[in-house]
Amino acid sequence: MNKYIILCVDDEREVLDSVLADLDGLSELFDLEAAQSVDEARDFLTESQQNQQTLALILCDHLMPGTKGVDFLIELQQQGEYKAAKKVLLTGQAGLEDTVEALNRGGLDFYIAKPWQGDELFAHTQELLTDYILDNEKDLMRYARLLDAEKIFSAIHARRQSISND
Amino acid sequence: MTRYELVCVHSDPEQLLLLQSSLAVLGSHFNLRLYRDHHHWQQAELSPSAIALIVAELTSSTLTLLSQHAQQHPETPILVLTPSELSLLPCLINQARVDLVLEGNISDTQLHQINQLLCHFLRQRQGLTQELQTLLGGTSPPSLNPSQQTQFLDYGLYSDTELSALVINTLYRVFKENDEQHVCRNYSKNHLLTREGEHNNALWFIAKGEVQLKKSTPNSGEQEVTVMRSGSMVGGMSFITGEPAFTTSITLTETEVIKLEKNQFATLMKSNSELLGPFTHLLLRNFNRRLQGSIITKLKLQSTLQSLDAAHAQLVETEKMAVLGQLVAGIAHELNNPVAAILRGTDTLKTKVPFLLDQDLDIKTRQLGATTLNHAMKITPLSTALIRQRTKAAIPLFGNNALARKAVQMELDSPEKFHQHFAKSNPSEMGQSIKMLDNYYLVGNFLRSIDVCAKRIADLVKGLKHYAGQDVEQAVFADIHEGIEETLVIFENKLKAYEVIKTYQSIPLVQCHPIELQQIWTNLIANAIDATQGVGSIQISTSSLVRDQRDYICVSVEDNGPGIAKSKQAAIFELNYTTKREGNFGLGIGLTVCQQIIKRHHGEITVSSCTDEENHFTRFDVYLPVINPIIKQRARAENLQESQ
Repeated sequence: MNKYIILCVDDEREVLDSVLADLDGLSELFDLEAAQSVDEARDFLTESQQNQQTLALILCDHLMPGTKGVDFLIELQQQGEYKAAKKVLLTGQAGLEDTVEALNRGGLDFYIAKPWQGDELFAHTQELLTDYILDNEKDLMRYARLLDAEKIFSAIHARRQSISND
Repeated sequence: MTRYELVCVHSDPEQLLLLQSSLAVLGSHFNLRLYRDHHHWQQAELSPSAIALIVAELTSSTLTLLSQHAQQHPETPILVLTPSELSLLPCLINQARVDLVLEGNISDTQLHQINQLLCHFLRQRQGLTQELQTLLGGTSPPSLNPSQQTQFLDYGLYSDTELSALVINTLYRVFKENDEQHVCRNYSKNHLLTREGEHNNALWFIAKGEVQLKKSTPNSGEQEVTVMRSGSMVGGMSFITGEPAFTTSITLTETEVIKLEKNQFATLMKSNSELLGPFTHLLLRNFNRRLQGSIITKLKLQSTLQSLDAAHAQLVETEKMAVLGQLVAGIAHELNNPVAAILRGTDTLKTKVPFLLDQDLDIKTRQLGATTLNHAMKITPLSTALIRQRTKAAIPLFGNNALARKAVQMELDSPEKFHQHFAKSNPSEMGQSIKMLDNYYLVGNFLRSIDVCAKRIADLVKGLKHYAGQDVEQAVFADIHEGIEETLVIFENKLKAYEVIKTYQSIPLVQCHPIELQQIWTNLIANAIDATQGVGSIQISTSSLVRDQRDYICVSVEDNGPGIAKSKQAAIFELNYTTKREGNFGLGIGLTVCQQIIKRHHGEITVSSCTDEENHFTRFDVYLPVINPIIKQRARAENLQESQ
């Protein structure tokens, strides 16, 4: 069981499978999880907390039955334990108003429009996760393999220097 | 016995009228001819030999005519009125002759001279009877009954202004010296002349100023009919016919009028009979103008009505387009998901398939791969929740989350399968093996997913095709449920946040124009979505029933929105009623369109609604007869207008 979780939420199973396939390369170091509704995502997050797992990135559709994606992101942003998680909207259906809302109140980190390119989705996710790891993880080295190695190594280097300078 | 003609030619109508009244005494034995110009005289084709006297204005054109006449009929006396240009008179004298030059007003002396000239003429023609001699002898009082022939002369040549000026000026002249009865009046602004619906005893000639005619309107307002200006007559119709006044007339400015009451009018016509002709003409002219005016107005109204009809048709069309536009936007969104999935799928397949073909695998793995691929292609994928649950259970067997999840997806996670396929391998080999199989799984799953998505797109397109289609002329038997379902597909995107409860009873096929009906379902569902503002529940139910011994079906669309107040329920079908805000469907004429379509289908639409806090809803019930062979099509009329 990995320490960090990537959670994808979309009511369309086909879309969800595509996203999972695109992000499969990250599954060695992150638990790649999928939920077909916000309700399911909530349940999962509660459960994962009990398992001492942390949400590193959520990739969420907007227009879904029940709670909308943007509202869920806002909800997460307001809870301390998920505030740090990177938040990505993957949608073709969020209007300007919703998007602004997500940015201002949901701490939105990235917006990907459907349809998307697999390699771009992977690259953006990688970048966001790198930032997340740099901010939240001590053991950077093990993530260098899958994430932005250059960024991680320079961060490791910087950390060492600051330690030796102390 | 020949009746001789007295010809008067003058371009000034007033002058003609003066001549007419001066010569009226001769009217009993002569035909008095009044002409505005020489053309008209020529057109009259009088026998030149029958002309006993010519009184003419002297212009270059009458000069020619007078000369010609004088050459052929030198006996005809020629009188001219004081010419404005002196040079013409010597010309006439030289070319023909002039018997008398008259001032505007013919004095008694001059009249006497005229009589003498006539006597002379008649004597030459041997036509001077005793009777005529008595008449022309001079002293007999003027006849009060001049021949009717003189009354209806050529007023057609007078313009409206000239004719009215003629009458009004004459009236002024008549009353100039003797206006005991106060006929000539000056009204201040807002003076009431006639009052609509009341009897009117007087006739007004407007000499100067403006009088407004107005009629009261059904909603207790007033509408201006026209404004009469100088030269017009007010009160004429009610004065003559005795009917109540048709309009109320009121002065808009200071106004000078000649007001004649019935008895005054009678006296006037008796004492100034020469006025009867011009007056009658003026009256007829007035009425004719009013009639023409109202005919023109009617024609204008007709064309306005036609353009209104066209505008209405266009509005309906625009509404259709507006709804369609929003639907299309929704559909574009709706298409986006399957398109995205398909694109992702093909993209993945592009790398996975060549990769798998390149692998040199043992037969066992390849067989298992093929089975996995086939399996993934056929089955409905497990729910994400179930996958998670089973992944968790499988982690002890497979070591980590990623491998366990893959195994679950391929349904190779059961202990039996694990033992069958992976028990003999070491963890590293198992990992390799599962990752390889996952490629097969992905290929199968994406093929299935592409298939599912393409089918969804096909369904959407099928629904759209109906929207774009045109109903056939004849009503057809159609499955109402199919139409509703197609409409729901179109709205799928919007309806995501809704609980859609469908209660379909078994109903017969209905004879109808299915595409028109689709417009109804579209409007009703769009309204329900708008009313609930994006979240709520929508119930759609169908049933069959019997009404007036005929089979009907009923389609109900109910939403749990805030409801419509009782007072507004009747208004919602009106054309301009809308509660639509930005972002809503259509222009707010949807229900009007619905009602029209339903009416053409001989059906009925009713609304029931409740605004109570606990139980608020709005329900539209659409009743349609099952057998319905004759349905008028709107498309006909509309297309006709569009093609113009």
